[in-house]
Amino acid sequence: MIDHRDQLREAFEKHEDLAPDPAQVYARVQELARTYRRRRRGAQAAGGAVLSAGLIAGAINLPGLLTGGPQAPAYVVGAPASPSAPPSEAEQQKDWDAYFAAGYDYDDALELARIWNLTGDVGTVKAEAGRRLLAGETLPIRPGTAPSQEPSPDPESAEAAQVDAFFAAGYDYNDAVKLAELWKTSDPYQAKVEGGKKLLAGETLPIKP
Amino acid sequence: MTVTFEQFVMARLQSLLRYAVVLTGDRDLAQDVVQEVLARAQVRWRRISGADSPESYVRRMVLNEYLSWRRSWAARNVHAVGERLVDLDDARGGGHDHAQDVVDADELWNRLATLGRKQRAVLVLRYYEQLEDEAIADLIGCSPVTVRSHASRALKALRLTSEGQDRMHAEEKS
Repeated sequence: MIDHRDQLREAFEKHEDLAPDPAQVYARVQELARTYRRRRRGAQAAGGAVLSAGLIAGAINLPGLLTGGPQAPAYVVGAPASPSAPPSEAEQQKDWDAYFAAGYDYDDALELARIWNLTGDVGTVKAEAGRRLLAGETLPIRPGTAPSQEPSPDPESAEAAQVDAFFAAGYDYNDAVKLAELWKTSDPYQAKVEGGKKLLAGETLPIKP
Repeated sequence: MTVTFEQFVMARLQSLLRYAVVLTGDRDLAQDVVQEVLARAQVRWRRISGADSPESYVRRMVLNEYLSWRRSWAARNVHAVGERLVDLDDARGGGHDHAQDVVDADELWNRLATLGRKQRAVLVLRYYEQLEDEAIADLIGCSPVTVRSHASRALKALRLTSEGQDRMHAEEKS
């Protein structure tokens, strides 16, 4: 009798050659990577205007996306190159280029924001870091050394916990299919998420495991 | 010496694509997942190339991408494959030769498409990647007990669990 390990291994190995053409995949990767780089710079451009306003005042305490402690002191950025005029779009672009050219990335910007007690759009942090690099300053961390935000064990950890709760309660895929029909969710996976959410909230599901 | 992104892709892309195919069970989805992951990896390659094992890092990204993928492909595939499985089961004979093994492997591959993503991932990581349950738990972000539970349910759904294996999994879970 064939062991289930061997059966599964055989099934996997027999079908792994269905893999798509690597050359085609690589070409698409290059296209996507260019898009991501453009998006990153676009996000920085949006943040740059906020930074400029902060520079005029000589200090910034950026609201919003990056959360610092509620009592976190505003970080004094330092005098801008030209206090009477905000940096132009071209100048901001130079700051961002300097930041990336030095090898820094998104995670580094998060770490710099933490060190500098900045709160606000991460793009503004990159721009500020780039400005400092162009001014000949050394940043407090080396490029690419900040703790990584990716890959996490599961990008949707709350959702993963809900699915775990679903299975832990004894439900399985077939139950999810039934629940998906009952709840009219888009697919069984969403039913697992919804079911897990209800179980974690102490509710019971309309079917038994 | 640091490996460039291009060197990494030259050496490992084929293997990554095979892994993605086995993981997703879907050629097109495998392509989408690997493309997405490698594009992100290229943008942040300096960091990834500094990891202890860039390949493990990227394979983990592939796993995460698959587990979090938002598409309704699963539901569609499940119904289509489920219908075919009934036919396959009815036609299945008792003999066991090489041709039968090939049919069995195809049949099992189709059955794998009926599993939930985590259940399938656990089986792939266990039997294709040959990882221990503790390592799988770390990758998926759950406990080893939950990994065993996923595996047990998956094997049961695939009708691969003998009575002895049932007992073994019951003991593992207790």
